[in-house]
Amino acid sequence: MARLTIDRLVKRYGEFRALDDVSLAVEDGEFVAILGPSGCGKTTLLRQIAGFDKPDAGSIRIGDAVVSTPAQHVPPERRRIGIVFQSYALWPHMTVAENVGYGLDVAGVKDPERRQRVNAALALVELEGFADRRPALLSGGQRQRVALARCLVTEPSLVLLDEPLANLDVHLRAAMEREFARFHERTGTTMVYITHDQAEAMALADRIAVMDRGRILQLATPSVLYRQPADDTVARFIGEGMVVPVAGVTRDGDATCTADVFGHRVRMRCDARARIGAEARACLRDNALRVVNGATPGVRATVTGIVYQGGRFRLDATPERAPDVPLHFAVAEPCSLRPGDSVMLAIDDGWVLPESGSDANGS
Amino acid sequence: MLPTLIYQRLAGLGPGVLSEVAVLSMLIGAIAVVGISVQESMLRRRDFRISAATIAARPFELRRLRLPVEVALWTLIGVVLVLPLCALVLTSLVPAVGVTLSAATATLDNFRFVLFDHGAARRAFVNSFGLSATAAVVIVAFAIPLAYFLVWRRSRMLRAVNLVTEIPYAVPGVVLAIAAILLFLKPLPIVGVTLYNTVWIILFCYLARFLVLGLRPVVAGYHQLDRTLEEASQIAGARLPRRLRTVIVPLVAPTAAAGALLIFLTAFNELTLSALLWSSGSETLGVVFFSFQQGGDSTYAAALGVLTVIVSVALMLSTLLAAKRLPQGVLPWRD
Repeated sequence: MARLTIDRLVKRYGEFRALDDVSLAVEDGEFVAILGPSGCGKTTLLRQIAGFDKPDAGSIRIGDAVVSTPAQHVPPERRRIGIVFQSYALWPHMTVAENVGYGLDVAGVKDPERRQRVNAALALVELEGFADRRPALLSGGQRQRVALARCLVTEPSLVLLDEPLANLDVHLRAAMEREFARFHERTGTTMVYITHDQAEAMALADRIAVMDRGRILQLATPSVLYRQPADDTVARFIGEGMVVPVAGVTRDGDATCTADVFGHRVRMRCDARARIGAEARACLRDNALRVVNGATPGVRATVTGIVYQGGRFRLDATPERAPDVPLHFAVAEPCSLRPGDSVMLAIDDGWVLPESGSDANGS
Repeated sequence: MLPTLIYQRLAGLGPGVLSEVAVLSMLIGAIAVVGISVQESMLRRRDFRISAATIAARPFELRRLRLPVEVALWTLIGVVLVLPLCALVLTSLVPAVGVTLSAATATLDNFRFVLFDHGAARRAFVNSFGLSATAAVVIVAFAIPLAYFLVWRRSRMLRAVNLVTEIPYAVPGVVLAIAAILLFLKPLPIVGVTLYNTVWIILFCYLARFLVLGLRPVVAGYHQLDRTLEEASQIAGARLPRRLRTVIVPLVAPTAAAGALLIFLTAFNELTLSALLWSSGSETLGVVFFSFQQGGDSTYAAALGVLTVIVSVALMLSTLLAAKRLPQGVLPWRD
C-alpha cells in the first residue's frame, strides 16, 4: 500500500507537451480514475508512473521513495507496482499458473508457498480450474481475470489499470467492473485506473481526475464532478452537460445565486469561495430541463431532433433567443413532439461555472 | 563479372596479386554499400509493421483464368526445379557421362565412392555439416539480443550496426574471403595462432556473411511482438537477462529457428567463400563438388549433389515432424 504523489510533471515530445504541469496526489488505498478522451495524455501519465519513460520536469513519488525526476529514475522492474494492460499482455507460451506465478519466481518465492499463492490468486478471480490452460484458450473476460491475478499475486503497493475493459463485450464489462470493485475492497491496494469511459470511472473510482490536452482539469469525487464541474470542458465532457451563457448573476446565499438564462430567471448553485461576475456561464443537466405548458414562465425553444432511447425520448432543441446554443433533455414515452415544434422549458437547476476555472482553460 | 575476374586473377597468379584484387573488392564493396543505403532510406520512410489482427485470407478468384495460370505455374516449377533435379539423379546413377541409363547400366557405385572411398568428400560432409550448424547456432544466439536493441532501443549507432551487417552478405563471397585472408594471413596478436589455412577462417567468414540471414527474421519477429509482453515481465520485476530468457527468446524462437534453418541450408551448399579459403583437411562440400566437376567426374559430382539435396530436404521435413510435438503456433508455417 502506498501513496502516489505526482508533482508538476512535464513530458514534451518535441514542441508538444504531452504532460503539462500535472500534479496528482493519490491517497493510500484510494481508487482514482484518470479520465479523458484519447490523446489527452493519460497513457503518457501511466507510462511515467510505471517508469517506462522519463519526465522532462517534476517528480513522482511512490510511498516515501522518489522514483522519477529528470535526474533520477528507478527502472520499472524495481518500482514494485502492478499493471493490468489493455491488451492483457499474457505470455502465450506459459500456462495460466505460470503466468500468475512469474512474479513470484522473479522474487525468489519457492514452492510450496509459491503454489499456495498462485492458487489463492486464481481462487480470488474464480479461475481455479484453469491453472494448466494456455491463455489462447481463454475468453476475453477470463484473460482479463488472469491478468488481474498475475498483477496482484505479488501484492504490489500500487496497481495501474490501463483501459482494462476496452477490449471486452458490453455485457462482460459490467461483470468485470464489479470484479475490480470487489478486488479493491478486499485488498485495499492503491489503484490508478486509466479510462476514456466515464460510466466506468463513475462506477469504480473514489475520485476521478479529468484530463485534457496534457492537463488535469479537475480532481474530485464523481458526484462533485457531475454537480460542480470546474470548467466548460469538464462540464461538457462529464454527463454531456450543456454550457449556457448566464447574465445578471446575483448571490443570494453562500452557495446559491439567481441568474438570467435566455431571459428566464433561474435559481442556481455556485461555488461559495469562487469569484463570480455578473456575466458568467452555467452548466445545465438534461434532467433539470422540463417541458411545461406555454403559460408557465420558462425558455422558449425549437425542437431540432428526436431519438428514441427505450421508454423515453432524447430531444435536441435550440432556444429561440440563442439558436446557436444546443440544448437536450428527456421526455417520457409517449411523446407527441416533432422536429420544428416550439416548446416551453422550465429550468430547475444549474451550476454557475467559477470564473477562474474557465479562464484557466482558455476557452 | 567483377567477382569472376577477381577469382581468375587470384587462381591464375596466386597471392602476389592480392593488392590488385583488394582494389577490385573495394570497388564492389562500395557499390554494395550504395545499394544498401538506398534500400535503408526507402524503408525508413514507412513503418511496415502489421497492426491489425490477422483475419482469414480470402482467396482471389481467378475464374476462367485459373486453368492457364495453373498450367503456367506448374510448367515453371517443372523447368526450374524438377528438370535439373532429374538430370542430377539420372547422372548420379550411370557409370560415366554419356552412358544410357537402363536397368543394366544403373549403379550406386558413385554414391559408394563419394560416401566411403573418397576421403575429401567424406571430410567435406563432416566439415560442411559442422560449419553450417555452428554458424546457425552462434548467429541466432547473437541475433536475438542484438535484434532486441535494434528494434526496441533504436539509436544512431544501432542503425549503423544494422547497415554494417548487410555488407558481408551484399558483397560477393570472393570479396569477403579476400578480406578474411588479408586479416588472418599473419598470426593473431597476443595468442600467436594463425587462422589462415584452417577450418576456423571459413567459420569466421560464415558468421560474418550469414549474420544478416539470421538477423532479418529475428528482427521481423520482434516487430510482430507486442512490446507490452516484455513490459509486463519488467513490471513483474524481471531484469533484462531474465526477460530475454523467459519471455523474449521463447516468443521469437520460431522466427529464430527459421533463420537458423536458412543459414544452415545456405552455408551447407556454399562455394564462393570456401573456394578461396579451403585447405587440405578443411574442404567443404561446395569445394569437393566443384573439383569433381572441374576434373570431369560429373557422375561423382551428381551423386554428391543428390546427397546434399537429400540432407536439405530431410532437414526441412524433420522440422515439420517435430512441429507436431511443439505447442501450437510455435512454427510459423503451421498453426
